[in-house]
Amino acid sequence: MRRPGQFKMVLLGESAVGKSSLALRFAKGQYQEHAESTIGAAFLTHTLQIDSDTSLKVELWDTAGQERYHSLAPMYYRGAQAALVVYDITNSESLRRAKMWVKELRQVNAGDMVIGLAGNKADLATGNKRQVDTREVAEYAEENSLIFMETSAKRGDNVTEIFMNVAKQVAAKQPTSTLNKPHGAFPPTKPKQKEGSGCCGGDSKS
Amino acid sequence: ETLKKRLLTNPIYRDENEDLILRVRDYIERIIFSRDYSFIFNRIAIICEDKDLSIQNRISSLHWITAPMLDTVLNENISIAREAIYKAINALIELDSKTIPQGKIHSIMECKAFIEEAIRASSSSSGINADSFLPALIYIVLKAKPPRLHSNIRFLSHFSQPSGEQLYYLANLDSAVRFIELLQAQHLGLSSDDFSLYMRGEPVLPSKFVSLFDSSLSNESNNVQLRKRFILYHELDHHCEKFDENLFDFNRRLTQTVTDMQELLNGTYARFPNFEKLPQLIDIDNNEQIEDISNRTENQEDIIDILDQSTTENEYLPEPLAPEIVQQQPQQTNDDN
Repeated sequence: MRRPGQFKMVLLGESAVGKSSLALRFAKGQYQEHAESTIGAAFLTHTLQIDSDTSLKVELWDTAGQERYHSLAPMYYRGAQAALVVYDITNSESLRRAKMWVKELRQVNAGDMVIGLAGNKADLATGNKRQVDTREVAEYAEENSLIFMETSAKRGDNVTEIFMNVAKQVAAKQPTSTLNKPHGAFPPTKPKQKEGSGCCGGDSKS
Repeated sequence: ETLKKRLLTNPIYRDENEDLILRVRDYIERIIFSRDYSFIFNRIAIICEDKDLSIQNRISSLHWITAPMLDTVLNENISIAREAIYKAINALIELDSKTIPQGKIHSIMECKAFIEEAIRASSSSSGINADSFLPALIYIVLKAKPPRLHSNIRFLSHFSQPSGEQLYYLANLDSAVRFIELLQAQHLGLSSDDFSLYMRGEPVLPSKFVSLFDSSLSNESNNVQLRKRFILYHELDHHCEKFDENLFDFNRRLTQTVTDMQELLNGTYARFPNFEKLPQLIDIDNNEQIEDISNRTENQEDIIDILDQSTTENEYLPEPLAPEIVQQQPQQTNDDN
């Protein structure tokens, strides 16, 4: 079987919109309401089975949502193949920030990056807490070719779906071989000489 | 550079079992760096010396930053959290002393684990995510003042192959450094005036006041007012101190003048033995001191004024006996002072 490909996905959005909750729900199937969190959710990975012979390992990079740390975001989304921009449907200000993120990502990465837009906290849509109209955002997402869904990290609605859709588009965009490239500073090198392998391999076994 | 090339040949074994490759890589890495670490690292450190120093100075000049300013939940008043914070700081300082890339990465990951522990201990409500982690890391970097931080990050980006997770925390550390470099008043929720005051080290908040701010954090405007009041108080304190200093200085100079005068008078008496001795100048001394306090000034002119007064007071006594020389001498002292 082939080794699974992997890609890096960065989570952007204002603080308290539920970026980390979404990631945690996706990677671990958990949701914590104020409960003490025992799992560090800043970095998570999860392997998705895209189809019968492709699986993709998603590396989720959470970012700090506070306005003051905004300028550091490029260090996180640099080299990411995908981004998930999250806003809170009960907070129209968070959508404004989300749109800023989308604009910034598009400017920096042109069309290369797959961007998902998640309207989180959909479980609070009933009642009059909702501040963001679904149709408006859907149109906006259409114009900017974003993958848009309203999600609920609390109930688990659409969480796997949005990640899966993003992953599928990433897979479709690039052949898996390029997804395999190592993350370090080292570029993949051409495998050629075989001489050295004998002695070193033997040493490390002992 | 050749060493780097040698490292680059590692992926030769790509077709083999991945675990084995990793082990081989780690092994080679260990051999190379246990032999040539100082050579390689020093080259980087020399190139990055200015940057290292500027970061270190920057961190030193920001020593006054408190946890709430960075919007981090870390609370050093909780003993478990404080312990974890110290451990995190130690781990970060050790970064510089490790001689193989994996050792350095291990330090970073250790630091990360302690930060998470500290966050957990400080606040039960906030989960561990980037919103809480990055500010906490920045705080730790500020407190740790890790030596040659920039060189170490550069070194790792050239000579290590971190896993995805390690890379993430490396990026976090890099971001923290960047944040510290670019830090401005609004990033801390301060006005630029307050920020420059802090940078000059003028009103340094003592810890009891910091904790006072902590408890009232819920009320933002109240907090701002408190801080303003505190700064006013501090300025007042500063002025009082200066005033005391000046007063002391003035007193000292006054006593000096008085003793000078007395000596002069004594000298004069000695030369004219049949001259009737004056009572001591204590009375004048006391009067003058009271005057000083009400005046609150230490102007040169004032001293001369007082001197003039005292000489005029004295003048009515020696007049019948004074020859020319005596008249000259008091004038000279006036000039001297």
